[in-house]
Amino acid sequence: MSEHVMEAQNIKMYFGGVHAVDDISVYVDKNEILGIIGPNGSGKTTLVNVLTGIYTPTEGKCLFNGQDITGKKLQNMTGLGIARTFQNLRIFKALTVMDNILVGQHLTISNSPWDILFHGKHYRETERKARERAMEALELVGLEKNADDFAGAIPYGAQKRLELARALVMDPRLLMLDEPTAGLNGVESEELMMLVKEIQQRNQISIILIEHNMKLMMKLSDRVLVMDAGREIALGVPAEIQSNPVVIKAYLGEG
Amino acid sequence: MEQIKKLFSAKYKRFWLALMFVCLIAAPFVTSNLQKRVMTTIFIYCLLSMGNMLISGHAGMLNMGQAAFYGVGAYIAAIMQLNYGVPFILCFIVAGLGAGLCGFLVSIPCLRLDTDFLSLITTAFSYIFLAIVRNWMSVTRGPMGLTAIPPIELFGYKFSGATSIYFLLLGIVVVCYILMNNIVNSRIGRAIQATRDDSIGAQSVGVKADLYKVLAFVIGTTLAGFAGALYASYIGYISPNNFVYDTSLTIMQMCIIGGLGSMPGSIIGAAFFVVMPELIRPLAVYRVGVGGIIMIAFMLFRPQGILGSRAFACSTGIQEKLKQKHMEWKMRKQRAERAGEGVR
Amino acid sequence: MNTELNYFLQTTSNGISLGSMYSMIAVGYSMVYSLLYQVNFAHGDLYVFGTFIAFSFISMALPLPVAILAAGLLTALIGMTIERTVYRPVRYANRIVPMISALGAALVLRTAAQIIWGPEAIAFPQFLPGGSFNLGGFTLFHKNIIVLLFATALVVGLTWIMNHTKFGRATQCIVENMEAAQLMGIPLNKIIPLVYGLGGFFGVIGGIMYSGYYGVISIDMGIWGTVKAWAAAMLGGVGNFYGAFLGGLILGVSETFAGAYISSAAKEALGYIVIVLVLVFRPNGLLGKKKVVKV
Repeated sequence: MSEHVMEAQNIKMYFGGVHAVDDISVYVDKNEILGIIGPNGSGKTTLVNVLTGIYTPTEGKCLFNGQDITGKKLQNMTGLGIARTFQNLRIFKALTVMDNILVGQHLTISNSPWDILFHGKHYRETERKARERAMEALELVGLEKNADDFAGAIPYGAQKRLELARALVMDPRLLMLDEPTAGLNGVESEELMMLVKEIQQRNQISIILIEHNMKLMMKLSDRVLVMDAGREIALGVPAEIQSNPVVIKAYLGEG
Repeated sequence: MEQIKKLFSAKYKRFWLALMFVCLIAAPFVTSNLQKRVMTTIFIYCLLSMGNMLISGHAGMLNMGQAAFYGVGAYIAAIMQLNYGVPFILCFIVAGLGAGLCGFLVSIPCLRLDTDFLSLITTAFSYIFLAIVRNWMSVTRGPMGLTAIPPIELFGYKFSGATSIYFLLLGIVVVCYILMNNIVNSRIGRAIQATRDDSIGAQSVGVKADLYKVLAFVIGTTLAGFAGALYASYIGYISPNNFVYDTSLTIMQMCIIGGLGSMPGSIIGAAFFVVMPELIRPLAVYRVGVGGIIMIAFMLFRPQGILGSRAFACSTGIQEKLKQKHMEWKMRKQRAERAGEGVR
Repeated sequence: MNTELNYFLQTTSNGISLGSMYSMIAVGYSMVYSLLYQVNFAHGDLYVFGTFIAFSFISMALPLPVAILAAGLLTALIGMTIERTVYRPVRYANRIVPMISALGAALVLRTAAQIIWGPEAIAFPQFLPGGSFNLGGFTLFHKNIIVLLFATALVVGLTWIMNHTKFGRATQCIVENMEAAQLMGIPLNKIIPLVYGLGGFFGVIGGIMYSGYYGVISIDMGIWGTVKAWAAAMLGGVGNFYGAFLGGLILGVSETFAGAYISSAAKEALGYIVIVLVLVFRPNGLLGKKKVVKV
């Protein structure tokens, strides 16, 4: 058995007559960044949603470290070591920035019901550790000063970084980022992506990255999957993709 | 103004808590029996609104049937005592569990539903409960209600005087408040609130959203059951009229005026809604309407309630709009000034 | 004709009448609800207030159609005033906020009604014609038919308005996407009050029918009406007038049957049990569209 971190085998996702994802096979290796690009509506997000269990694929199999995870629910993915961010931000707006990160550590904080009701010594200990860890994560993304602000009240770019920190604090082995730089300006997205790269190299994790910014994508990714209308039109290292006539045609039109 | 704000900052929190506690301990020795009864009523409503706060405020499921769960607890406790002579402490526990079980059953269909449908289901439960107690004559004696429920007796001590009941309920409320606050500020409480803010986001960090919704519902309704058992033995008489839909709405209002998502808010809200009608009693027939106007005023000028967080109200209500208008006006003025300077 | 069947038919016709009246109240509710997705706690008290106004007009010996129309218009006006003062300032706030301010408005209306007309139930003139057809032992009262016809006409008429007039299409735009509608130049602040007014107007017609049918009116009917209208509208599916009509009928018929065949206790409870069951199996109501959650 080959040791791909995640492998998707012939994934098909149909919504009625709409073939959102049509027969995609792709894998990610350890320490690898896999980029997914494609025009809007080409099924990138749907593919990630299938991989993280939000949708159950119509056909096909998802393997994580060789284990079949097809049809597993989103809430059970974290335990396996899969974390993700969302295209349209799913942070907890009425919680503080700190609490957002603490929720991210939901599975690592272990308290008995007794601890939770009476806030015993063990509770205080775990809580202190969790807060320290959260603070580290916030420092990493540069949000330490905002720890007590409401997540809904900080700027959009900061919210994006918060969601990233929330995913990181779960210690994932595979991170899926769905358009992490959407809505950010050039400098901000550059910074964020450099941060992602740095984290990836330090923590030795794999990343699946959906991104529109071609320049960043080509710089960061080890391999790139190009999708159009739910199908794979190219898969390879950035240099190959950039010179692939099919991709150029899809992106630059028939001319 | 700044100094006043400073007085209420976290630094002085312990002082205020201690002061409040002293006042609460001293209160029964300087107040009349009527005032003591009002305070005791507040305590019972505190339990109800704390429970509802967890469900509606922290879990974000607008529960419009809290009075029915309250009623379930009251009837269970009353019937057990009257028909089978079970000691109070046992009735108290069973009443809580019974209401919690009802809460569990009601919350199951709610998992699939949107907010409004959920409110409707709890409303429906409220009316179904009323229909049952009004008509199941042999057990609940229908609209006549159950009378002569014995006063609370714990370990051989009868809580019959106003002062003793006051202290008993104060104790229970304080304990419940601490426990609820601990739950809210723990892994569980955070998971519940995260589920409210974004269910899918919560699931993506491994929170079992459905489990926490049900859990919040069960805890909240269990508290209502406890309150019911206490109320039945405290007043000694219960009838369906105590648990009508209007009571549910009042409890909901307590939570909203107190500030959704704030445990202390539920206490303030309960106190506000028990004391306010007493204070404006001289207004007689206008009372309900004045209450309505107060509610409207709150929603227009402080939609997050007394202690709620701005973020939860997510308001672009009148205040925000005024602020925005003011900012626009300021900017226009600045621009005009700058333009004026340019000319010069 | 045997008595069993006769009883069944009688119950059916009574149930349909009750259901028709529920649906008339629910249609107005559904209109407002679909617009802003806001549980409108003031609806019941608003239409009861309007029905009281109609009662006063009828007592003043105004001709019946004039009285109904005048009461309807006055209520529409009150509805629009409430929209302006209580809902509009909080229109974009968290959905709980307008819900509670509506509840406040309901309390104010209830108090006003209590001050003007007193807290007791009052006998309402039974203006619906009392005649009946005899269909082989089974008596079909004229008023049963009239109520049903009225409700049907109302729903069909409203649906027509929604689909064929400029006002209706503007409303549908707002339902679909308020921001976009505003950008397209649809005057929100004209359309929304109008919808509230219309909702109140049709609510009053339902209320007058109800009071005329059963010959009673009281301020307690407010919260009761809100819940029934809410339930019927949700049961049928939000924003669909046929849905509200269907929901009202189901509610009325099931209640009447439970009352006739089981017990009066069942009458109160069964309607709600039906709602719970329907919502468990069809979470968006019978005719409601499934909302697609985009992840």
